[in-house]
Amino acid sequence: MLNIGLSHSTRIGGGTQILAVGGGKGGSGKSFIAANLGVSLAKRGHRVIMVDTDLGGANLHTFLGLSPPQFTLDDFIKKRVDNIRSVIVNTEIPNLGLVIGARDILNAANPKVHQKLRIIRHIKNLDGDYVIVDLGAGNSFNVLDFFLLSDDGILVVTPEPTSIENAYRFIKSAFYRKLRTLTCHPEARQVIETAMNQRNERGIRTPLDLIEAVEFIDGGLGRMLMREVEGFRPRLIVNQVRTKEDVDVGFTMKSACLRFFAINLSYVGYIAYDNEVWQSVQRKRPLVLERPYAKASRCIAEITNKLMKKQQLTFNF
Amino acid sequence: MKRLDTLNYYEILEISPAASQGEIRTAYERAKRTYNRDSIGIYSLLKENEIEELSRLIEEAYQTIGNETTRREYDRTLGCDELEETKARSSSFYQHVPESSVPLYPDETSPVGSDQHQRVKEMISESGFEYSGPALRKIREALGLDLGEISTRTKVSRTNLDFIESEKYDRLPALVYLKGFLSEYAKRLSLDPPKVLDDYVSRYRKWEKEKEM
Repeated sequence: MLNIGLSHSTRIGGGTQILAVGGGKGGSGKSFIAANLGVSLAKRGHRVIMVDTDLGGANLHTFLGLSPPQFTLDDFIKKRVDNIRSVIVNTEIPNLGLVIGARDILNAANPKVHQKLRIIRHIKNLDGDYVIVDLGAGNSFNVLDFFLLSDDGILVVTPEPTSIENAYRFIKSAFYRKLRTLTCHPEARQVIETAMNQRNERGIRTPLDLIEAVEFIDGGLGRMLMREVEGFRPRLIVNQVRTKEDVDVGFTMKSACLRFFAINLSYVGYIAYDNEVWQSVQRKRPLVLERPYAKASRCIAEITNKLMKKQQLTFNF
Repeated sequence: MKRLDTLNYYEILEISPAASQGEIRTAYERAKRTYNRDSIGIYSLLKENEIEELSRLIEEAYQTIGNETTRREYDRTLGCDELEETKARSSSFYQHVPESSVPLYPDETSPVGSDQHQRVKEMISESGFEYSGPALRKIREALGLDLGEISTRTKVSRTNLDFIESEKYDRLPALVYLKGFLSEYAKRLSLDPPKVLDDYVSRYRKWEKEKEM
């Protein structure tokens, strides 16, 4: 357990920014991207804390070249420590701390609701410039709740049908989950729960259908949910890009999400397919440290710029 | 947020009512690419009949606003208010930026991002530039890399790297090895290896010829 001096830091730019990195599909590069974004931000002088919430499959520490961990999220879940800050471990990169994921697979993978809420509460209270939360695969309630730590979590997709399919499912699930926590209206909650089943009898297929259904029950509530849609702005990264068409997948998803879900996806960038990536994973070294001028590293640098400036990619005709 | 069947033609093509005919044409082509059966970016999102309906609307939109005469007529039917509202909403559509503003696609030779890479890009684009030894040194220094670091990563000895940069051709190994070293060195500097090899080896051959004379 090490103190990396993050607990008494002064905040910049309006507080700590939480970046949850998810996307549904396993193997799309979430942990690789989370690790390298963390390093990239820390190298620019920001104070970064990374939290591995891939309960049951945690390995963010391996991407950062850390040996089998001594203190993990498990110690916090089991209340061996009072505060999540106590399990932040130092990395070799100044300004970068890590909360290593739990290793007790059986218990940690399925935390009780109060345990999950305690983790969420403590993550929200972490003090740094950026808190990067690495999520597990799938769209279970645990994963969605960690993704919803902020309104602008990062979705990682690869330009493959399976990944795209999971990403749309993830966006919808996250959005429905968010709406469900916002309303106490029993009938509206019932509609939201119905919508979470893809083949529901009410024919609700998209967030837009759902809002219309809620509006029918309670006009005011429907409008409130519409405002929530407007504030929900997940960010998108397309990983393992080989062609111009692969880059365009991000623009297509952005257009489709706005058109069919009324969700304003922000396309923050793509990462070029690069053999250097798997080599860096083999060496258990962050790519942006090991090969700062590799194609993928340069893409990560560009994404880091966009995240810092809260910008997105624009389309070049 | 409006349903598909209530969108006007500008919204269908995701373009501002202030767009030029050229921009409308490009937006139409992009919309066709985005919403066709083979576009993996919409995989699992739309049913076959929805794609067909959308394609039909895209064609209809272009046939109407892609022609100045029919566009004027259509704008009149929309009315000023809707045109203004669409214009205001168009900021959430695709944003149009000049061709040169962002290096959008991955490219071995076009570094993305940092100021250091921008400086290198400027150096490389100067007229008469060639990858000589001193030029490679200048690029390396602009990127803030030292020879020791390059040597560790490329496994090319620091001495040989130094000979490459100072063009001490008589001290360099045989050309077959030199090419391998140059290629590794170029990759470390994020340069295009074939271009570096072309320039450097032609300088080397020139030196060989002069030596024979």
